[in-house]
Amino acid sequence: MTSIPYISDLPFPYWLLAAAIALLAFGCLTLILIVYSRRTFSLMQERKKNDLRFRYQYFLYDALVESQKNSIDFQHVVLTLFQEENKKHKLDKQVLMKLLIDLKRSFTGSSEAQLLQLAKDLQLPEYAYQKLQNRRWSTQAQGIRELSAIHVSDKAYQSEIAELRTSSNLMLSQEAQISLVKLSNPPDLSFLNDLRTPLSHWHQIHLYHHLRTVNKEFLPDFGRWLSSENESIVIFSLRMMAEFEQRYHTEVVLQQLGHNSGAITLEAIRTVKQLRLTQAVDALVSLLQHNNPKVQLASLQAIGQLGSIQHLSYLNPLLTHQDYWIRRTAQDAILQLQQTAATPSSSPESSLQPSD
Amino acid sequence: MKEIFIHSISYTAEHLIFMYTLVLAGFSAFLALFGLIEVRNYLKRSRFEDHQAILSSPFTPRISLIVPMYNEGQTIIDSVRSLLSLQYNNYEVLVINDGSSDESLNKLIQHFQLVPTYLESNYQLPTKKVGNIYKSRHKVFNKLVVIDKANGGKADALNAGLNHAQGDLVATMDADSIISPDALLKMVKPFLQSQERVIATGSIVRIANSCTIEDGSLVDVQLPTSLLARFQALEYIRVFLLSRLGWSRLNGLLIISGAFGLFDREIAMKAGGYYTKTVGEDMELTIRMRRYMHDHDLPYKVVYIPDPLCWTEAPTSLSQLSRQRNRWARGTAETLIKHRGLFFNPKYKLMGLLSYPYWLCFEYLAPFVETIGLAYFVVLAITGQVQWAHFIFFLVIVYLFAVLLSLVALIAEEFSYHKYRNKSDIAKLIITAFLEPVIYHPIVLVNALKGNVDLFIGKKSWGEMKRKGFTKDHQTLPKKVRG
Repeated sequence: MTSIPYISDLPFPYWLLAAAIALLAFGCLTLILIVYSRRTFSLMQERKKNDLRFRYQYFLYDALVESQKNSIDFQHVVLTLFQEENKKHKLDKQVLMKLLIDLKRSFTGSSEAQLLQLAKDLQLPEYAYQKLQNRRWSTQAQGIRELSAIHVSDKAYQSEIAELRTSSNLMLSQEAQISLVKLSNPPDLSFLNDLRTPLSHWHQIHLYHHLRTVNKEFLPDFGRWLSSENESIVIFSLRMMAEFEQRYHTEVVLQQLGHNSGAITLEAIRTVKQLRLTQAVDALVSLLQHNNPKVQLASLQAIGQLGSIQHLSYLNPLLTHQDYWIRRTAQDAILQLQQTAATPSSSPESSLQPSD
Repeated sequence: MKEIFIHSISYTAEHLIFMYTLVLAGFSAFLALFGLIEVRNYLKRSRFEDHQAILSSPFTPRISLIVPMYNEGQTIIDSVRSLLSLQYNNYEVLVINDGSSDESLNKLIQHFQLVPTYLESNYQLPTKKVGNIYKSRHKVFNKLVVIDKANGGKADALNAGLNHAQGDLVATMDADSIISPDALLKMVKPFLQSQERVIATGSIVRIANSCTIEDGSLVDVQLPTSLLARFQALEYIRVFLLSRLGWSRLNGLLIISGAFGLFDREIAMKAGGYYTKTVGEDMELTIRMRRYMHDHDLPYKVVYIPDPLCWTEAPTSLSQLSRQRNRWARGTAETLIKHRGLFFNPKYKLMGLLSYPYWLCFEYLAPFVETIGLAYFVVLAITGQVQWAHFIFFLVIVYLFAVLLSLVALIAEEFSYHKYRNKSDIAKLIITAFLEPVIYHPIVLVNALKGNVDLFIGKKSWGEMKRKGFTKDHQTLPKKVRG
């Protein structure tokens, strides 16, 4: 027991105490220095960038006025201005890129095309492309985002981005996949063919956000991915079919109502409801016996919307169901069916509305 | 013989306390490192997140925001007004009036033109009797549902909310907390992004004292002027930025703060909802949800995000602080006792082998160990056995370590959100970091011990905190929260 000495019997480590105090004093000083210098530095940087942004913006407006006044080509004037500026002070391409991307959001048609051309003339695609060669994923993702924002359709750049869409870094691969959707026409969704990992809801939301800007004619037929073994891809495809009203494969959609996966069945019910596939009502009635309460509730809602007065006999017994939400949703569905039968065109009131 | 016995006792005590301190310091440093990595990664990822896509998406999960209300007449109108204008397209606000004896409900009825609906009440989770369920006549307030029920405590009110929530996710918050307009948008992210099922998320809670609040929204952040509130501001920064985020990275979180949290409703219901017989219902539910996932062999995650999305009023008097910390200590004790089966239970993996033992040994038992250490020191001092040089050495080392941890938290805050923009604020916080271990820590220690004594003698009350309120009589002018 006494082989290990008392801690208080150990030789007193003055050096450790001194070191700890010194470390803390150093830590405090460093913290204060970091805070003050960082704040001052970032303030200076911010000011500098704002000044530059304002200056570049001024060039653009100046060129616009000049070209209108003297009927000179806008592109030529603005490029000359930027080239002169570049000779005096090297252009800050990051500020310029951000400015053009921001401006592009506010313009369409020929003005947007002019801005994109200007970005090319100022070699911003090359600048963004360099970022793809960086070791850091965040810089690579930034480069991808910039290339897609300035619509660089160059095949060489696109193939570089295509390589990154299978990156093990999820953020990077998602950025590359979205970028390809934005840059290609029709949108390149080929990564869905061999995606093994789940397509997160987050990614689905972002893909849809870009797909809805695409002309419906150019959208792929999402029915082709309904046979995918990846559950999330089937769900995404069903969602897209519903949102873009693709009715080419309604039979396959109906088949999904009997899918083993509850999540797919649930999404199929939503799709059926959104596409108003009334031929699905019988299948929906049978789903009222499903073991997943979410599926039961979704079926009830869908029957309320797609069914007719004949289906009341299936819903009435559910008014005494032990589950509160099934009772409540059945009540809503019955009300909906009754109101639809009375006035087919009116939209029924939800039971959540005040009673008076 | 007697000498050998005393020698053995003092030898063991000295080494145990020393080892305990070392392990605690090691754990704190380890969590701080993980917390810093988590903040850094989160901020990096955030640069590529487009919230606009979520705002306009038809695929976002529905969220039910449950706000339990008990005598919150002073602030409730502003709070609800700000909650109805959050940046999220698919949510409802459920205000649960837990039998308020003031004019809270009448104020809500008048202001939001509420009328009773004919909806039946749901008692899937047992609660006190639910009376009327109100909705507004006005379409502008169609997200609002007010449920009037008999008084049953916060957990009971939250259960009533869970029973009537229509969302896949439920957010719970205190009626007196303020959440950022983008709070739901950011809190829902982990649920959408993760490959594994996320069952709960929490965000960083900050102190709203001295901040300017306008119409229930935070418009200007200031460091609290009251020293007591400032201690808590520093404590919150340290605990949330370092410890909670560290645990989040390890997926070992045992608590999602009751001030603001987002839960998977299905799992919360299946786990049995809030436990009404504890004052630490937030921690208890988090643990029970985790246990449910383990028991059913379902992979899951509990996540904390570093965005400061919730602002709460900190106690500014010793008596208020004492009641709050007493309650927290009782809540922790009750929960740890209830779930004692987790202790080093390999079935619950990290939760059983690391999180629970950590909470038991270093969160719950720490005040006891500290008190025993102090008592031991007093005995040694009386018997003249203190080697003062060594004593001062260890005291200074422990003190410096505590200060250093606070400084690291301040650096993390500066490089992440730097909410306190005044240059003098950082200097004030550094001074606070030096004062905290000698002024604030003993207060917390005493109240933690008192909480355990109260638990032992069977005291169960919540200990009401009288709020000063963010605004007075619904003034539209900005108002500073005192303290």
